[in-house]
Amino acid sequence: MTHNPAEITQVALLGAWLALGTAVQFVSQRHYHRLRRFPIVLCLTPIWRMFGPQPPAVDYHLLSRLSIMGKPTGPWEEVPIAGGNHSHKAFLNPWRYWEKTLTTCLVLVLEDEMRTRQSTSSRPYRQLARLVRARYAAVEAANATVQFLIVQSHGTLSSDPPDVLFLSNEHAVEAQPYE
Amino acid sequence: MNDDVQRTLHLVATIAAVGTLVGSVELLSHLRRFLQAGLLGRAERSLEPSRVDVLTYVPLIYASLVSRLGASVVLLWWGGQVSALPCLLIFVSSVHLFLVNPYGQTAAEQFTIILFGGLSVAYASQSEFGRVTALWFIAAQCAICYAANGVHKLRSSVWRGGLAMQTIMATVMFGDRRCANLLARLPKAASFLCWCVIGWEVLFPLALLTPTAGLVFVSIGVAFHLATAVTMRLNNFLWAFPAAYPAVMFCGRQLHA
Repeated sequence: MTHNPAEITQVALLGAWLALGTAVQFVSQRHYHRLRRFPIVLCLTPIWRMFGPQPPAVDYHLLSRLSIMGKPTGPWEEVPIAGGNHSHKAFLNPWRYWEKTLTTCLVLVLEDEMRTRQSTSSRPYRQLARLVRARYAAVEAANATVQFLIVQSHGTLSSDPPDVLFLSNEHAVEAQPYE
Repeated sequence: MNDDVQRTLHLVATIAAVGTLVGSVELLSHLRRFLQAGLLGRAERSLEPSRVDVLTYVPLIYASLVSRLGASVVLLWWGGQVSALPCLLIFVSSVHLFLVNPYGQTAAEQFTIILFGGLSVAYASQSEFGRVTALWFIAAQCAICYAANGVHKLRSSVWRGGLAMQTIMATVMFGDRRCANLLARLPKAASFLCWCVIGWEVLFPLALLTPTAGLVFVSIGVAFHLATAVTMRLNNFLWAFPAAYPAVMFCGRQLHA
């Protein structure tokens, strides 16, 4: 049975994709952090680690506060991450994308902070800074700054108090160029 | 062209299209929230745009979402007579949305990209050989995905010790308080469930070998994804992974023909 060039190209393309998809499953944690810089690679050949090896055991919370020079610093306010637990979410869950985006940014900031102590220059950190600045965009005071805090709680079965994990730098409410 | 091949491709495309339709509606309904929060898109191009800056141009994001929605409707409505175009459109728009916001992507979105990559190649192919190859590609990707997940769980003492389900269910993000309490009261059942998940995932590649094995693994898979949709609100997994199941079943049938 002979195959035409189009069929051979197709087999080569899908075969290469499958081989790469298999190979990346053996990538170590260190190389995985490097791969994160190439989202197109992770997009086409994902590393499958759903809820493993370590299943999620904590919830992360994002809090923000506003400071205006000459006034007392504002209280910490929680930025809503989850949209509540409703039965219809089994089929339509518009909050899913929002929850996933914020939680991944929080986890990556914490990971970067643990690994490099330079998380403030990372893209997830800038995303979170942009988010908390946008929450206070209506504040028209000069010298107003915002700060965010990452806190973890230990699930509904635990009575342990939440832990504070990360305090951000202060950021001017007014947008900075190229941020 | 073999009817079985055509029917299987049609079924894969239809189930996957339900998932992309739901996903597009979900993201469109929350897009304003993302834009206001500055998490997605740029109102204007910056002076020195990088490649990512160009991709985050807001009208382009809207165009991507709307075209994905439209292509999903085309696949659902005219599924039997489609060409590669709607599949390719969903593939390209899904890759675009991934690059715009990689942090918002779950494994289901990543698997959807693989599915529509395979489907685009299948529908572009004029020969039965090409389409069968694409079905094997989709089935193999599904098997690798489950097996890799199972092996990572097997490495974990929390999973082996039977505490993983209870731990996950106790979180607000993925869990359900009632399930967490129930599993805490029934540790042996919790441990059994953990081992069921590990066993099913690690052994999933066997589903490709015979129609009977395929039916067993696929049936468990549908029940599993339905359960995670209800208890963990992973609704997109309910469409993305079961979309590959007709391809898995096809492989078993072909090996035994």
